[in-house]
Amino acid sequence: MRWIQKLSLTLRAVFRRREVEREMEAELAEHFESEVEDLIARGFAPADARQRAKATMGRLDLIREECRDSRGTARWEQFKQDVFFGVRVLLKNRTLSCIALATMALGIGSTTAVFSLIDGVFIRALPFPDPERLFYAEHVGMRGPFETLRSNSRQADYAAYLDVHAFTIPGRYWPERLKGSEVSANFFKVLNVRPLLGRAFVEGEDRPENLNVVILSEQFWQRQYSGRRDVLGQSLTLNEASYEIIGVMPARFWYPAPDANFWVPMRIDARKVGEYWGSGGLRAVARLRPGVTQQAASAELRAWIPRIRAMFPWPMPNDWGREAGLTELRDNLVGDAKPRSLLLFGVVGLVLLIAIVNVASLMIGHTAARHRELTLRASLGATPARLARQLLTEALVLAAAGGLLGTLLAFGQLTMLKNLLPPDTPRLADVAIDARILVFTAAISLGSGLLFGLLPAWRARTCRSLTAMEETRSTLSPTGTRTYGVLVMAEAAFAVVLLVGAGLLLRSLWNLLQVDPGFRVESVVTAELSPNQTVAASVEKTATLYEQVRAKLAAYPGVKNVAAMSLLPLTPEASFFTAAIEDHPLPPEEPQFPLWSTTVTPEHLDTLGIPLLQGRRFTAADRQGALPVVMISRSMARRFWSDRNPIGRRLRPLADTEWRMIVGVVDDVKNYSITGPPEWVEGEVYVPMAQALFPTDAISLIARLDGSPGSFEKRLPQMIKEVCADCALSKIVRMETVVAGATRTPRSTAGLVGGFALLAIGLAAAGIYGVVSHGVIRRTRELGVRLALGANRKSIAWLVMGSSLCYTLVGTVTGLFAAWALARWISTLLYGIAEHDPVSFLVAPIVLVTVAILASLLPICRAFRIDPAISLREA
Amino acid sequence: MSKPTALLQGTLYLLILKILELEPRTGWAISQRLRQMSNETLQVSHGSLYPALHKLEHEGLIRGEWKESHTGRPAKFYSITPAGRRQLRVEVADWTRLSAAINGIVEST
Repeated sequence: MRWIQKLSLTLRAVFRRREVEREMEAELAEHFESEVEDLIARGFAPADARQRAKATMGRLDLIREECRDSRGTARWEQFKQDVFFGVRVLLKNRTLSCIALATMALGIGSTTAVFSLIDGVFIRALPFPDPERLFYAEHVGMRGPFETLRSNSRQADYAAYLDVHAFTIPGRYWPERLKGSEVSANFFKVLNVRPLLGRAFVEGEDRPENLNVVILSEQFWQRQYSGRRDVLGQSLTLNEASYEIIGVMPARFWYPAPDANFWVPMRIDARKVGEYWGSGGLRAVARLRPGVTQQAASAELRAWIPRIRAMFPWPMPNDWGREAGLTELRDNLVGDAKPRSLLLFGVVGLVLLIAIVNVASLMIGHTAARHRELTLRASLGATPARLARQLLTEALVLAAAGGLLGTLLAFGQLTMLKNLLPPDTPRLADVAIDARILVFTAAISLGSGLLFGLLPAWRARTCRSLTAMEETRSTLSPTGTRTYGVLVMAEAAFAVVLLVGAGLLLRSLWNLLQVDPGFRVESVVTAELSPNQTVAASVEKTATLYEQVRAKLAAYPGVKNVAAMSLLPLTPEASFFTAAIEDHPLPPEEPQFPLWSTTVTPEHLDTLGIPLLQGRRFTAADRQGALPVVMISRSMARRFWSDRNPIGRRLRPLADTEWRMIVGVVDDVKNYSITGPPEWVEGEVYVPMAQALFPTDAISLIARLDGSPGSFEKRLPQMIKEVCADCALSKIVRMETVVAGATRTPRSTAGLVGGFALLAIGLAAAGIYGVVSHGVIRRTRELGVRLALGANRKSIAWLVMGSSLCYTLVGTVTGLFAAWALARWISTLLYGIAEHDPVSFLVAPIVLVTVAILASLLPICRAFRIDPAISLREA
Repeated sequence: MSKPTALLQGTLYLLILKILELEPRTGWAISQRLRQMSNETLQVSHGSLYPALHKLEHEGLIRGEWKESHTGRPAKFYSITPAGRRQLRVEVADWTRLSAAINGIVEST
């Protein structure tokens, strides 16, 4: 009760100030009237009574002031005054305020934008109920192990999905390809997400007899069906089979990937032994049952691994499932975006620090210029604490304004950031500036305000004596120079760290761009061809279809070569088989050699200009029924047959009974990524398309042309339609685009870090410029005297920038040490250089010192132009 | 009477609470009562009463309420709160202890 009264009175005193004042006046007036009436009643004449009453009251203005004090809101009143005063000071010094505001807004805006990115990507919980109970089951991989876990686990509910892949749908002119996801029937139940419309899959819908149902994503529903509710019950044709639309998922649901347009049940059929135990690409998620810990569920999963291994219809290596376990679903989704986002956050953090340092030095300069004002206030009775509080409040006003402006800026910067980041950055759709982010922004704004406000406030202690008022602004006090020096030092250190980081990333990028992909890129057009299901299911029919397509395309004027591959180089999709290799026997319980496999047609070497180093290329004779053959890469030849001729040696894919003979060795090509295939791959193998290991639902066509491929690209769909009306053609792109796509992520990272480094060095230059030119202004008289006494230009220049240059150097060295220590955090993002790359560590300080000298040039010139006569008279 | 005011400052709160213990009063009535009860010994400047009243109100020890007074004009009536009564007991005890101690010293010499 008591505290309610206290609080309500305080709030009233703060927010209803006028009302409270009026009441106080009324109360005092009432007292006065009562007193007068009382005196009159006691026999005084009215005029006399008023006189006496006035005398007994005491001094009214003092009483009012004391009453106000007793409300306990004096601090607040002062704060309000300080805020108003702060705003007035900022408005008066417009140039200074604009610079400080812009600097703060840039720093706070960048930090906010990047923080919202980090928050959306890996701080914010996944948009499912109880996300902390959801885990990713590592290395489950296939339907058989998954189904075993799903039906036997007591600790967790398991669901599964296949990687998002394309399905053929009938289009307006020709069939089109659309990405969708295959999921187990309990997928939505385990994630605990309800559809927006209709129903989710029910148990048993992943059995082979009732597969034909589909759930649409909200985006696809809006785009294709304009959000009509009668979509339920309609049918959608996918891969020539008809599916009934039973539901629509809400917009926020994008799992397992943002480009999933629909979900269909995954076939889980133990009778299809090859698919059930042999086909990979399955990913499993687990939701812990109530009261179960991650450890317990993980232990249960691991306990099942040996039993599952024994269930396989063929012997599995001993280490299968060795790394199985439950890990956080969010971490699994984010993958390698984490180090890149954290790097970006560190970078904007440094930019913000530089901004703070800049504003701090501006504020100190500003406070020094107000020395007289502050001293006057001090001599009129303001305590040092009061002065400090006022300066701090001014800084906070500036910070708050900077924060507001920064928030506005952040919205723009975030849009920019989203465009600059690779579109496959996970959870990009979840990134948004919301209330939590704004709280963060407010916190860093106030924090920055405290940081750059405390220094001037601390220095205001010295504004004490009246004698200080008589002091003229002839020289810098030693403490003043030192404070500036420390600020310059900090700025240089932060900037050097950023420059080194940007240097390392840019040099890595340069190295990546210099990598020879191993094939000819110019004038090559690629497209993905998906035949109908009957053709796609048969290696032979696919080969026949391809032969027709090849003949058609080769007849087009300007086409030099046409070929097809199962997977283009530089495509980050896994394509490998495990094989036994002649001359390198391994015991059957050991893991065999994982080999990268690309299925190609005979002309693929000519089309891509890949040199044949040894043996022969594939011919039309390498077809089904003939001797199975393969070509291998140069590295593989060196790895397995360094001292022998590999031609004629053999290897056998584990899923196969037949050995395949090596007939040729070709030069290395960058498959998978610009840095080559994953490091666990032991070698790269090419298989003729007519002898493919397994059928594929899509092949990549490649055509090399004389001159510009523009008209060919346009004609391509029509030509394909003429040969094969039910073939879907997608991803018509030039090889240049494929190659550029391979370096998109490092380009965006290096670009962003480089951009922020540039911003940082700009801020640092502005800061150093400010400090040096402030020094010139403060020392005008001294410089004038020196010039009058005949000081030469060299000594004047040194006088002006010597100390700041020294501090810059000290800061640079400090920054280099810090960068040296920090470099290992980005070592995973580097390519072709050591984390302590000497070039980056050498160039960064040179750039910074050069910039520092350039920034000092203007103030130095101004110092040269000082007219001794004028400067002396003015002072 | 500048020195005694300092002594009075602390005890003024006690006196106000004591006066309000019986019934709610306006500021003016409190000042009258102060004068009467102390046989005109305590000359509290009327004005200095109000900061004390406002302070006590903000502390939640008394509560102010606007009501019509006997003059027919609205006036602010102060009444003691439960917290005020507790505080009064503490202050009275303190005061008794202090004055006994001071009396002891004064009378022994």
